[in-house]
Order: sequence, then structure tokens, then C-alpha cells
Amino acid sequence: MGLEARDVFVTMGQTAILKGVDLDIAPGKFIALLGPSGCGKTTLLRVLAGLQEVSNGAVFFEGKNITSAKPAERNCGMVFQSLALFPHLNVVENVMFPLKKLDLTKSERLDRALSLLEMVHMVEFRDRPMSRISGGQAQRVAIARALAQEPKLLLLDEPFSALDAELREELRTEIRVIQRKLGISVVMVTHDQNEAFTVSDVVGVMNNGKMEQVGTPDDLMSKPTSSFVAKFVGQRNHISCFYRADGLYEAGTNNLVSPACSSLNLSPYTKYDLYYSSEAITTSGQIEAEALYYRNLGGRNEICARYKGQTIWIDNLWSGQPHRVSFGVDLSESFIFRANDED
Amino acid sequence: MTRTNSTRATLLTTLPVLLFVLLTSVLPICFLLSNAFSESGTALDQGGGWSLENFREIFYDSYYVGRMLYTVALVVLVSILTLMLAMPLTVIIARLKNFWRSTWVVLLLTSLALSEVLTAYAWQIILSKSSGLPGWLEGLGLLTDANSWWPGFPAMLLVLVYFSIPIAMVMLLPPLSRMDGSLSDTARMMGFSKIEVFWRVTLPVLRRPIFQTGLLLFLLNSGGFVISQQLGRPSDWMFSVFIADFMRSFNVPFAVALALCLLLTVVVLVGVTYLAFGREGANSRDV
Repeated sequence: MGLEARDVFVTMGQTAILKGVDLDIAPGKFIALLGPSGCGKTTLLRVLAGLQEVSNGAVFFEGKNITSAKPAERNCGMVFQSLALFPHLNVVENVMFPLKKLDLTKSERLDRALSLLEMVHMVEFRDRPMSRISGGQAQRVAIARALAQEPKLLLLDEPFSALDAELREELRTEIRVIQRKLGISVVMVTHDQNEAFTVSDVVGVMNNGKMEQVGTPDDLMSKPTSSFVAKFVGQRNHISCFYRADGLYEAGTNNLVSPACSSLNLSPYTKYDLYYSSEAITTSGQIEAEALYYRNLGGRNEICARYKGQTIWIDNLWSGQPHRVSFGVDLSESFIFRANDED
Repeated sequence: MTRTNSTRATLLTTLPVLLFVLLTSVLPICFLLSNAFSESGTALDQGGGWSLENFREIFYDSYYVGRMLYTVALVVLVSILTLMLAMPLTVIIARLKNFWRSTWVVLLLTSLALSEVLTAYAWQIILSKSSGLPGWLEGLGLLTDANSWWPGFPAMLLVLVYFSIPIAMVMLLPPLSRMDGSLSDTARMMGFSKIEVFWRVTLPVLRRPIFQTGLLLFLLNSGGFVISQQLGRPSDWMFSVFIADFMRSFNVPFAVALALCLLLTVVVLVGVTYLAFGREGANSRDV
């Protein structure tokens, strides 16, 4: 029994930030909250931390209702986006700071802080002021400090967003190793899909204050349950379609997208949103796009094309480099949702 | 651009400004201060000869030195009290929404627009028996035989602090508004109460702007005399009142000698304070 959020609503003024979010985090699991800016993922993290009051709903930790518990009573550590390291303290003092609230002697506090710094490979920088360590080092100190009170849950708010790609990768691995070693649950907010998929067991995709889907990276890629997840997670191209008895047509035109597909059980005279990847296209359809440029991906040619104002990537199935292409979409490799399913 | 060229360019651009400051500020002040070394009662440009007579008179007994120390102590007290009151008030304003924060800034700036003279007169009325607080409290039966609460040291101290608070708040508000809110959130998550967060996080993190504000208050109040003269008794008067008195009685050389002593004392104190505490503050990061 880990952390549960049930039907959580957060309203600020007239604006609803969270609109009935449900989330289950099993003990010892690493979950990433993924979504575009402003979707409410940081607010949800703050709700879990106890820094944000809920308008409705409840949060449970190990079966106990902690909705109105103070942040310090939740046994969780947090790494903020800004890291929030105290600039007036040096590295070891920052890590020792939360230990002042535990019943420890000064030497015990120092020992624990040093062992945490050792875990994040920062022990040799223990006396450095915060102004004299790099971004990656500061990240490590922030993680060590968040773990100082031995929390059962670690909350990370876009912790790697300010780091370069190489350092980000290194720290992701490190945080995963630490999480496995300590056996704690981790909730990480990110807008970087790659980060979410490489580091976590489970990913919760959020949009517009709602949890769209929670699943493993594989589930999200292969079985998106909403058009938002299909588009956001797979970074797929989109076509607005209309289904008739003989096939799927581009909305408002007679351009065929795909012949009828009985296995999908589509309703006639209904609008659909079709999300397809670069590989799902065929030469049999009548969707017209203007080719902008071509790129070779080593054995595969791709066209960057303009379709109704969108920039799309499709495989080059044509000979040469035509200026305009007509293509269709293989529905078996795409995702289709009723148009009114989208928010 | 090489380093030499860059230095030359900087010198060339700053030279006109430096010349302007030299001609309009430094030279007149030097000329004025030179009068401190003329014979008492006769300025250099009025035919007075060079003399240390003014300084001999100042240090003849401990009177002026005593008044100087009293002024420094008073100004330190005013600065500390102002910071103690302004800091929590500014913390509250910094946490307000933009509209209310801006409203407060406008109000603070408006109060700064009132001159020291007007403020002092307003407080004389507020503290007077006839139409001020003592009279009202007596009328309500809360005080018996009430007297005016001015002139006196408490009235003078109160108004000096009152006048300094908006200055301190205007100085403290930008760094407090810029301060990363997650610093206090972090401390709260660790189990520290709001008061502990204020003492253990907010104050130390803001020690540099607090220190700078304290220095500014010290400098501004060191030369103040209107409030002191209008709300204090002669025994409460600050050093600048004496300077003003000698100016009014046309003993410019002696007034300038007193001003020079005050200036040197303030410069030495500010320098020593900066060397002792300012460097540490300067090393801390702006937040």
C-alpha cells in the first residue's frame, strides 16, 4: 500500500488547476508525471507534498488519510525545480539542515550527512559554499538533502531541466540506482518524454488538469487510451477524418485516407481523429502534402512535409524527391479516436 | 577587444562623468570643508587664516564627543528597530498578489514623498494633548492627567523609526520578492515552523540586503536633525542640530568642523562595519 490520490481537485481563484485526478503509487516504484507546461503536474506534486491544499478529494499514504497533514508529517523529501539549496550554508550544512529536526547529536548529524554526500559522490566538496559548485553538483546535494530525513517518498519537480544532456543522463541513472538501493517510492515531474520513459516504472500522462493515462512506457506507446496520449507520447501526425461506409476520408473533402477497416468497428458518418507515425503511411491514399525537405536516416528516407499548416514527418515511399506527395494511412498501425473524445 | 583597449574605453567613457562629479561635488565640498581649518568665526574666503582652533574647541572637553557618541548610538538603535519592524512587514507584503504588492509600494513611495518637516509636525499633533492621542485617551477615560507625549526621547525615537520604515521596506521589498519561495517550502517540508523558517532561512538568505539597508539607514539618519529638533528635548538632540545651530549663527567654520568630525566618524564606522560583516554578505548569492 503506497500513495494514493483520489479525485483530487485544486482550484485557484476561478481557475481549476486539477480536475479530479486519481493516482496510485505502489511502494518502491518510480513514477513520472508527464505532460505539457501548465497541465497541473507540479500542482499535483505539491498536493502530494502537502504544500498545496486540495479543494476536493483525498490523499492517502500507506492507507492513512493525509489530505490535511502538514508537509513535515508526510515523511517525504522533495527536490524543487530551483533545487532550493540554502545559499547561506555550505554543502554539508545544507545536508545537515533537515537533520536538526531529528533527535540526533551533532556528530551523528554530521556522520549521516557525510554518508549521504558519499552516496551522491559529493563528499570531497563538503565544505564548498553553494556559489562554488556546478549545476550538476548542486543537483546531487539537493538529492542528498531530500534523502536526509529518510523519507519513504521522494518527490522530484523537473530536477534535471537545467542540466545539459550528458549530465542529465548521468543523474537519471544515479537517482534510479539510489531509489532501488533505498527501496523508496519516487514521483518525478517532467515534460521530457525521453526522461520519463528511461527512468520510471510507470508514467502518468497529464493534460489540462486531468490524468489522461497511467501505464508503463510500453502501454503508453502501444495502447494510448486518448487522442492526447496518442499525439503527445508518440509524437504522431494528426488528420481529422470522417468515416463513411467505404472508408475513412479527410474531413471536409473526398480525399481517401484509408479503405474501410471492419476490425476497428468505426461508426459511419462520424468524425474521427487519426494519429499515425511516420512508418504508417501508404501510397494508396489521397492526402496531399507539400514536401519541404528530405532526410536520410540510414536505410530510411523521411520527408518533412507541410499538411494543412502542420509539419509532418512521413516515410519517403516514392522514387526521387517529389515536390508534392499523395499518401494514405495504414489504420492497423495508427490510433483512431472519436473527435469528440478530445477535450 | 583586448583588455588594454577595454580599460582605455572604460576610462574614456567615465572620464567626463568623473570630471563633472569633481567640478560640481568634490571641489565645492573640499572648499567648504577647508573652512573647518580656518579661524573660528571667520571663513577662509572672508580673510580668516588657517587654524586648528575649531577642532581644539570641539575636543576641549567631552561635550561634543559625548553628543557624537550619543548620535551614533541613537542612529544604530533607530536602524536596528527599523529593520526589526520593516522586515516582517516586508515579508508579508512580498507574499501578496501583484496588485496588492504594487499598491503597497505606491503607498510607501507616497509616504516617502512627505518631507521630514511635515512628518515631524504631523507627529507633534498626534502626540499632543490638545488634539492628539493623549487627549483622546484621556477623553475615553483610559488616561488620567495626560500630558503631551512630546518633546522627549521616546517621541523622537518613534518618529525617527516611523520615517525610516518606508525607506527600509522599499529597499527590502525587491530582494524579498525575488527570493525563491521554494526555500521556505523546503524548510517547511523538513518540519520547521513558519517562525523558524523566518529566522533560519529568510533572514540568513537575505543578510546582504538587510546589511545594506541597515547601512543606508545609518547613513541617512546620521545627518538628520529636523525630527530630532522638533520632537526631542535639547538633551535628546542629535549632532546635526548643533551643526545647523552654528550655521544659523553664521559660525560656518565651526559648523563645518563639527560636520567634518561627524563625516569622518560615520565613514570610519561604515568602513569598519563593512570590513567586519560586509564581505561575508557580499559573498552570498543574490536570491
